[in-house]
Amino acid sequence: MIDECHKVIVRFNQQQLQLLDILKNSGKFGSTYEEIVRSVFRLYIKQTLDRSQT
Amino acid sequence: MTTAYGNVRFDIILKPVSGKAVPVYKGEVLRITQVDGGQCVDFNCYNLHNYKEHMSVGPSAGFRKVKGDLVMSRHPWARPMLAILEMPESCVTDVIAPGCSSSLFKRRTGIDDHTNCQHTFSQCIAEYGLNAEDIHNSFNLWMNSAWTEDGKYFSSPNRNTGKKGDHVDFLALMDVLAVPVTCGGGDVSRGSNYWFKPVQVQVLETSDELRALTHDYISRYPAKDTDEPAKPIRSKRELEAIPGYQHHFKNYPLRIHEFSIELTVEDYLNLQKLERMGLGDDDEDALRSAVIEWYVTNYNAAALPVPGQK
Repeated sequence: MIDECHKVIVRFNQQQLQLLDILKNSGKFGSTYEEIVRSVFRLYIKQTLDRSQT
Repeated sequence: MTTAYGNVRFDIILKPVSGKAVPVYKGEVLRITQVDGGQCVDFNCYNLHNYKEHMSVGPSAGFRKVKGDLVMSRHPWARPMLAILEMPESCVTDVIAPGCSSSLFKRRTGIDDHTNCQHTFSQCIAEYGLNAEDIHNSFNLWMNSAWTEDGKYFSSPNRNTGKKGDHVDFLALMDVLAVPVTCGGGDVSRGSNYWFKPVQVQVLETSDELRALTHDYISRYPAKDTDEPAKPIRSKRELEAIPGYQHHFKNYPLRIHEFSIELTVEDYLNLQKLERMGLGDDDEDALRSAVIEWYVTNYNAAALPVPGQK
């Protein structure tokens, strides 16, 4: 059974965090790391799952 | 449209089983031409001002280098040395075979003193004070190697496809010592179709167009300081641990940052789909993999196009 909202704990090292900082500084993906992770994840899903369905 | 080159500055015919170390200055073109066709050419290349920086022969852009590819130097420099301006399809290249040796032919043919590229290279670079220990793995031109799906490699299972008049043009992106040699193993293999042939080597002077192209290539690979400054070249051969030595690994130990990410039902179902597709062993692994993979695939600002390639 999946709740309405599901929390996933995810860890990044400082190098991976630098990548998130680049995205953060672009202002296109959100203002917090949590928002950026969620929006980039959705972009990846769109790219990957859409491609796998075609 | 072809690039305008300068005049021929150097012109030599390499007789069979010979070679030549040739300085090629930044902006000049090294041209290697099949005189009769069907001759494998092995190739080494060094920074003319620092022999420790030599060509890195590896599948950086695939196992076959082709027209438009760059030839990079080894780490820690890892910068473009040469650009392949011209290379016909009949020139199959190979970056796996290290260059033939006398021990190889002893094993294969029983002959003790067969010609071989290691020896030819050593004779060529000796003119510049280098020796057999300075030879690096060869970039092989007109070498029709092959491998199987399970990774078994064959250096010359196919006949040499080089045609008379075929030529390869390398644009020097730094001052280099180029060392082309005619492969010494082709009389007992399909590498040169069981007969040695001559090869022409020329250096063409730079031109306005070549200078612009050189600048274009180099500007796309901005100079990066090496991680460690150049050290004096060792004179001692024996390796012994230095007492009390402390490692200084980059970003070590890693710092870990933890986040709690709220996902909607739809997001979470998609995350589980990714896991079923093999992207991650658990929720965290899949989420992290998706985020980083999207970045390196879509947001790599350093991935600039190479001149001449789309």
